[in-house]
Formats: sequence, C-alpha cells, structure tokens
Amino acid sequence: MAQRATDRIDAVGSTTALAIPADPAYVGTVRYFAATIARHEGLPEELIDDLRLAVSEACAEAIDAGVTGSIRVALSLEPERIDVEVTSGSAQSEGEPHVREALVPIYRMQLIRALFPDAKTDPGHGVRVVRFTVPHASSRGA
Amino acid sequence: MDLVLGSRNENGWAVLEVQGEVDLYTSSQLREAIVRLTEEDENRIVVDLYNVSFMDSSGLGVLVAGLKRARERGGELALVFGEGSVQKVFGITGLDKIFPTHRSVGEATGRT
Repeated sequence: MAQRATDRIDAVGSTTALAIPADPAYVGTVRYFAATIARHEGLPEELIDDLRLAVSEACAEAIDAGVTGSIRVALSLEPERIDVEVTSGSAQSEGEPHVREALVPIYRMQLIRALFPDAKTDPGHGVRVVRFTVPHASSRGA
Repeated sequence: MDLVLGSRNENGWAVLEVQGEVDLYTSSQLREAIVRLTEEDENRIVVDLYNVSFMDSSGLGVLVAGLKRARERGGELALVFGEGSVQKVFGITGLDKIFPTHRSVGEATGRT
C-alpha cells in the first residue's frame, strides 16, 4: 500500500519528523511542514523562506537521483537553532531519475549551501543524508 | 498545487503569466507552456513570475532551457519578478546576469 504523508509524522523529544514518499507531488507538503514548525518557533519570514527552499531542494535532489521509497525530513529544535536532516535511501537501479535539465542538481546544492553554509551531504551506505543548521534570529549574524 | 498559467500578446511579446509555486512537481507545466509558445513561433517571450510565491531549481532549469530554445530561434526570454524569494534564487545562482530581468511586464515589453 502506498504511504500517505499524513501517516508519517512523528515527534520524539525536541525532534519532529515527516516521512513522505519519494514523489514530486509530496515536496510541497515538506515545505508546509517545515514552515509551520519554523513559524511556531518564531523565525522571521525571510528565514522561513530559506528553510522552505532548502528542504524542498534536498527532497527534490533525492527524487532527481532516482531514490525510491520514502524521504524523512527531521527538524530538531535546539536552543537558538534548528537542526535539519533530510534522509532517503540510495538511488535504486529501478528508480526513474526525474531531472530533465543537466544543471539542476548543481543549482540545488549551490542554493542549499548558500542559504545554510554548514550544509553537508553524506551519501553513506544505502542512505543519503543532507544536514544543515538554521540559526534562530537571535543568533543569526552574531 | 497546480500552477496557474495564462498567455497573451503585448507589444510583440508573448507574455506568459505564472501564479503559484514552481517546484519539481509543477515545473513540467511551465516547461510545456514555454515549449508550446516556441512551437507557435512565439520566440520573444516574457515570463511573468511576479505572482510566483516559491521557485526552486526545477524552475530555474526549465527557464534556462526556455532561454536557450528561444535564442536558438533568434528570440529572447525575459523575466519579470519582484523583490523576495524568487529574486533571491536568481541572485544566488547568478542567473540574474544571464536573463534579461525586469520589474514589470510593461518594462519588459517596452510598453512603458
């Protein structure tokens, strides 16, 4: 049975996570999820826009690469920062890459790193992870 | 969420008005609209992104491909957007130096 995004929200301690199918139709749900949490934390709208873009690019990058299964987006609320982790399975041979324009994967990581300079990718063994930190307004630029 | 797309002619340009969020899911609609215009020999295109509330790299890729397609046919593809998240995406990637960019459709088409 296909997973439904609304079935897969979990919260443990300071971490809230959403799992979506690796399907372009669900990427907008991730943006809404991340923005809702960030807004609840009182982040300024400009920073919320940056977070929406970064999580969207991270999910799209995985789908572009042909990942199948699910993508998990976790936001951990820490004092003066939100740690973001986007985890997916490795690209499967049966997965269909969605990317149509060659430069798009380059733009995706360029944007994430420009918005959140500590962004790191870890292809890992069987797992792809993108991590970055969103500083709270009170600490950003300090 | 679907994009809302509409096209019209203005001062010798095909103006493609886009509303909504351009991402991996919706960018194919934008791609199809631009290809359709060029297939109709509309190669001077203004893509009006003023009412686009979100755009990611998928949209950038589609617009770069559209620019290439228009220029290969002796035309041009210009963009209209305001200050905000769309402008930021173009600024970070440097694509604001590649496209002719304007603050209004009138400015892009030379009407004002």
